[in-house]
Amino acid sequence: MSAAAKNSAAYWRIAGMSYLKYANACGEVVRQSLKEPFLTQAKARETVYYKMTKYAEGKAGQSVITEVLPK
Amino acid sequence: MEKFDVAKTSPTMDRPSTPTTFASAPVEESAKGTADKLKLNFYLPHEVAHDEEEVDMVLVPATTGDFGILPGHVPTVSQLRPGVVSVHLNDKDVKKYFVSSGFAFVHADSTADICAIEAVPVEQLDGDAVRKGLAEHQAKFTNAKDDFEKANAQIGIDVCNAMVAALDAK
Amino acid sequence: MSTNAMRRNAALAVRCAMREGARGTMMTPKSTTAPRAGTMVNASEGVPANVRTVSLQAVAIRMRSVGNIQKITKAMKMVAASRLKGAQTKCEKSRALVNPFVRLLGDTPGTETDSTLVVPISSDKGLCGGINTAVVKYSTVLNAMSPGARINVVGDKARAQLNRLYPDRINNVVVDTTKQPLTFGTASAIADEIMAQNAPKTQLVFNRFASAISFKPTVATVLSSEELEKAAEEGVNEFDSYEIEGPDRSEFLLDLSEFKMGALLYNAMLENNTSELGSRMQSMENSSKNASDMLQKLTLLYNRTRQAAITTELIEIISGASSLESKE
Repeated sequence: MSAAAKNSAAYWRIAGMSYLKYANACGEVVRQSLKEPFLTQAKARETVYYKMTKYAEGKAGQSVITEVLPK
Repeated sequence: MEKFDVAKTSPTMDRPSTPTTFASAPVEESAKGTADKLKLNFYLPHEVAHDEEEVDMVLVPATTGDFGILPGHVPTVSQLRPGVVSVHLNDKDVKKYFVSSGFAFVHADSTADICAIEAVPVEQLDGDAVRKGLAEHQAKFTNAKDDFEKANAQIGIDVCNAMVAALDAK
Repeated sequence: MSTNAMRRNAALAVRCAMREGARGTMMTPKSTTAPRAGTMVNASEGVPANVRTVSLQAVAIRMRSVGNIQKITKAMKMVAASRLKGAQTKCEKSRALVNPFVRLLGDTPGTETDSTLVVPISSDKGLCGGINTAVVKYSTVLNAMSPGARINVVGDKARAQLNRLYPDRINNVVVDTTKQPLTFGTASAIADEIMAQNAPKTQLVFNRFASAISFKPTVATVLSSEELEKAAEEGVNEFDSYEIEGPDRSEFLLDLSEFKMGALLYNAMLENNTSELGSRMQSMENSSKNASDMLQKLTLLYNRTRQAAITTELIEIISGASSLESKE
């Protein structure tokens, strides 16, 4: 953890979030409060999907799929 | 990049491009604002709200307080809190956007960059959904088990409060 | 036929077609045995010149398989072309967000740091021309430039090549990013994983979509917040000439570098995705053109073979009849 992060006063950083996490969480709250038809248009921006594998010394570890699909 | 030429594996490899190759040169004459108009760039990841548009003034909700950007403003970088950005295009037209958070930069040549993840015209917010969301997040806050959930709920509360204020202020 | 089956068929068929084209022999795609007795074209293969020509049936089989290849590659090209338009729009919209950060924080690939994290961005699926190899080539050069470099791979194609070249330098591999439409949320999550590795300098390597036929390898640099502070003090970027309305300087730079990484990564992944579609369109177009050329040559061969067979039969009949006549 960088020194800047340790000295931060932001409640979300103390809880372990990065700025991107914080900003995306804010964005999601805004998206959920939209009127139709904007709400359905915004649903397309909610998806998160990727699969990550950690490697150690050339050997693949466990694959972790991170998935958030719109409700 | 000179090191690149030394290290490259085959003589036919060109130097790679960098983002500065494609970014508009900051001191292009057309990109500079004039003495009485501000050049506004308002960017989202999925959309370009304003691109080099000439406006009179922009009001932004910084974390340290609201401030207005006029042509000739001192160069500033600011972090935005969830709130309303008011773009005054001219004396009559005002566009209000609710931004989820982000940054605003004012440069020395009367150009302003606003970057956010979500920015919606205030008219697109649904008051009932906002109030319902506020209640949900407050409930999540009281039931939160760890710091992470508390922070998530706090974010929800802050953003919903800001949206309520934006809707009431209309 | 499902896309994956089409893809497998096309890959196998295209590779066979390429081998065929190089040698000019008359093997069927399925047989991997030695050339049939009776190859017409390459007498240098050590086959006697007076043996029978290749059978009509063999040529017909070849023509059918080449025709299938042509259909498959044409279909794949259409699919890529239809997806390209939408991908291009999305990609062009994402370019704008990168500019304010590059302007404020600078883009300095030449910064000297202890270690570098190289992030090559490639596609998961193949048959898309040379773009993935280009990314891997540039990544290897960046690796050589910085001895302590680690690699965080995005995309299966680069992983396959880099696993062979630098197996012990890979930190992470991220795949399946295009299974669902790419969003800023996905790019942010991956950016978080990258930032969690605390590298002073991170370099993204990807193909920028310049046009439907031109893809430029690009390297985008993101410095960690400590490096940014150093750069600001040394005057490399002009951050210190700005008033700050927000958290204090170090934290602000940290937030900015994280957001910059997210914006750059989102744009890089979209650019690479669009380049992949354009490159696939190009290479499938080339394949179907080659297949139709091959089909033309085979048709000529078929007709010649057919006529030769008829002529041979006629000669036999006539010589048989004339030998009977001469006996009388």
